[in-house]
Amino acid sequence: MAVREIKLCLLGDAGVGKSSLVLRFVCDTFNACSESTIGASFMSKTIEVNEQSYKYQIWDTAGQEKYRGLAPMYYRGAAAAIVVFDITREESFHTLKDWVKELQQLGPPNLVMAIAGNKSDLDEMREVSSHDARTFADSVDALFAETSALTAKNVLELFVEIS
Amino acid sequence: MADDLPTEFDVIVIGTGLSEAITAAALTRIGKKVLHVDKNDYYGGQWAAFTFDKLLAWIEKARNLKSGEKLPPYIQDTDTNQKRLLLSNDVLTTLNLEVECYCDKAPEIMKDDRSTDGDEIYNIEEIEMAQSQRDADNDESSESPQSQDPSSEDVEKTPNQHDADKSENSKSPQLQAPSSGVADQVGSNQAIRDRTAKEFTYQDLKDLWRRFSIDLLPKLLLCRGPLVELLIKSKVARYVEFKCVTKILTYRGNRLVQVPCSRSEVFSTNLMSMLEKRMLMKFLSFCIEYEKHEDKFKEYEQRPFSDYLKSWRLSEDLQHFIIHCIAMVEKNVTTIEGLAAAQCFLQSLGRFGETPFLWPLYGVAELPQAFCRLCAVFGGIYCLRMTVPSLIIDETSNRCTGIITDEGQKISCSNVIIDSSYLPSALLSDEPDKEKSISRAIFITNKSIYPTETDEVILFSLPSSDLSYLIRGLEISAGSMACPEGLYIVHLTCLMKSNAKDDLQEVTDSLFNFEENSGKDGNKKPKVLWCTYFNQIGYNVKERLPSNILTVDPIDSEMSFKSIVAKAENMYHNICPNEEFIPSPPDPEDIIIDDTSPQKNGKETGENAGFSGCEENEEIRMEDNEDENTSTTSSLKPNEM
Repeated sequence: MAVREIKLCLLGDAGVGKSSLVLRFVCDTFNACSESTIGASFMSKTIEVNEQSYKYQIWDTAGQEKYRGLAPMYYRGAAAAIVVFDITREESFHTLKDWVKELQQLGPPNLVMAIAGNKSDLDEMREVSSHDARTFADSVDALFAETSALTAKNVLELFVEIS
Repeated sequence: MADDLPTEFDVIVIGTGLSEAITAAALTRIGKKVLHVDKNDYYGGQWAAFTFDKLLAWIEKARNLKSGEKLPPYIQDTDTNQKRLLLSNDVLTTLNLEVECYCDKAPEIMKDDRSTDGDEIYNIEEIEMAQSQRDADNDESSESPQSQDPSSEDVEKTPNQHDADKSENSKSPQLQAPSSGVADQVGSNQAIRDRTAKEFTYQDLKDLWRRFSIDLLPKLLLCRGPLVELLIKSKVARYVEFKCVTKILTYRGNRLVQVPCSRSEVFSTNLMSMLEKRMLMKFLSFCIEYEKHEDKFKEYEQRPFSDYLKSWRLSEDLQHFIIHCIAMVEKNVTTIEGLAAAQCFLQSLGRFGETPFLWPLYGVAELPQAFCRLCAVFGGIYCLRMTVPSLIIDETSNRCTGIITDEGQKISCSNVIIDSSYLPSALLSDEPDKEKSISRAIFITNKSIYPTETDEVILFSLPSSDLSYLIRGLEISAGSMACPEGLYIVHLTCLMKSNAKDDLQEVTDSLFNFEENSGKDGNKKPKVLWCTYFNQIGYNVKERLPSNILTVDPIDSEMSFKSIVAKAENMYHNICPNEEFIPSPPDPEDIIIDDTSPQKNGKETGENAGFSGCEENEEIRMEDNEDENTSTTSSLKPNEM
């Protein structure tokens, strides 16, 4: 059975939980006080969906997004992108729209885009409603899921859906 | 934005050119804290590559930049023992800029309101439309009924749409997505054939803006050069994909001919007689291990290479091939330099393909970005669009102690690496240093200079007619992800003699047509649709700076990357004298993934877990997997170096 390799990159503001999502997906662990991403070039994991193996090559931003230093190289050849925001920080949802725009302009054509509202375990501190986020995701033709890297809710599902 | 930056670093790097990027990566790799900044909103400085619209913007900016007054470079701080070195924003690194357009510009007036100012607000409806079209294409993959949609014409005009239209729409200048498999490749060849009749207009070029990736400073990697070894060792090779240069051309008489590279090509070529072939092979065999036969060249060591070749009684043609196409040096170099250059070429043959050169997909500008990423992965902090107004210099120790940001914040550091074009003009030579400056031309053409059925990356090496200098050219097509299908980008480069256009005019005229039907072979040569000429300038630093400020020239005139890597290694060892230069990440087998304590360790292992999934011989990713690749690359694991 052929393994399909997929380059996937993560985008979103610093601190929304991009690396935590990846860590949950790849190693199924969570680290509450994780610092900004250091040392993670990219991770890979193979999953099977409908008898087809997909090998994800997941690129994290390495913190380059923090001071507007994300290089176009980052998106090159990506088949999919997950744009992450923090449902407890409305600002991260606003900037998400900029990330989406940047991807549309500079990302590769035929990119599959997914929007993840992370930290769904912190529902009581919610600042962004599911409805708003879903409406936006639909408007840009992106997949949408609310995820929690803490409880693992929807994390695997999101990655499966992308494939 | 930068107010939450840490205020202490080991090294602050100003400018994101390749040697700065390599050094920055090497420093964080051994745990140094690095702040890496660039005044532009893109990586690379003079090493950048641009989409067509961004190139136009860059040209506009470079044209309007006036060199400022030469102000005193230092300001004394009154109450401390410090002075400030004022950095500048107006050192001219690009001179003699000219732009010429030879394609139909008319439609632009009609569509003027849709100018491609990259950042403009896009119309969400159009995006949606493009996307639904994309979906339809994905579903049906062949003929898409969406392209018949009456509104699709509107979509085509918008520069910001997804270039997703895979369908064959004869009106559309959008060609299909280049990231494609074999099936698509067949389709795209078809597309080229269908499109030979098409006249590209200036508006087409603008509409296709995002398909271009046009390098300011194109160079080639020697397959066994130091940069390739460094890319493999540091694993940065995983961030970039490469294509082997497919052909090397030169002039013979006034005709472009292919330079035979491999042994079999030498034997099968009809460019030389049997006797010449034998002479050539004999000479090349000697070149590969010339150091062992010192007696054979000792006498000529410091004399011109051309004299030495004469002593081998090689024919004029062979001498030309060896000097200009194998050693790729100018005629006046010494024998020892010529032999070293030829050896370098020969050693790189056959490693990844027929020719000894690699070209990165999307262009050379990917390389600084890739090393910056490595730097960031190990904790380096990146700020683009950040100007640094001044460096703080302690007068007692005569050392730089930090920088002042544009927001007045003081950030301390123990070393500074700086692109010399950021220095105040009063510290730089008045005139460009011609050894550090080059003449460049970029052409967008409608046809290859050496048309074949396959997708090519062509290097050509052409001496000027008086043989006084060497012009190297590079033609890149859609397969290198640097230009749209049906179009070609040709880069010409030579050392700066007077100005770019004069230096390159002669070769330009012999390669291209500028007007329709000019000359008797008018329809054979490629037609230039658009072109630009410019000089990239390096200056000398006149004054001695404190020893912990290291300067880097903004560009490098060499064709390959030897001096760039040497420069980076040199700067690194200046700061960390006893450390290894970019050690390889640990061997994946040695890492135990520890699920229970992911803190820090978890991250380290995470990265390496990624590596474990890859096979050893994948160290450098190539576009076309030729048979040699696996055998040659697998024999070059980092531990053998």
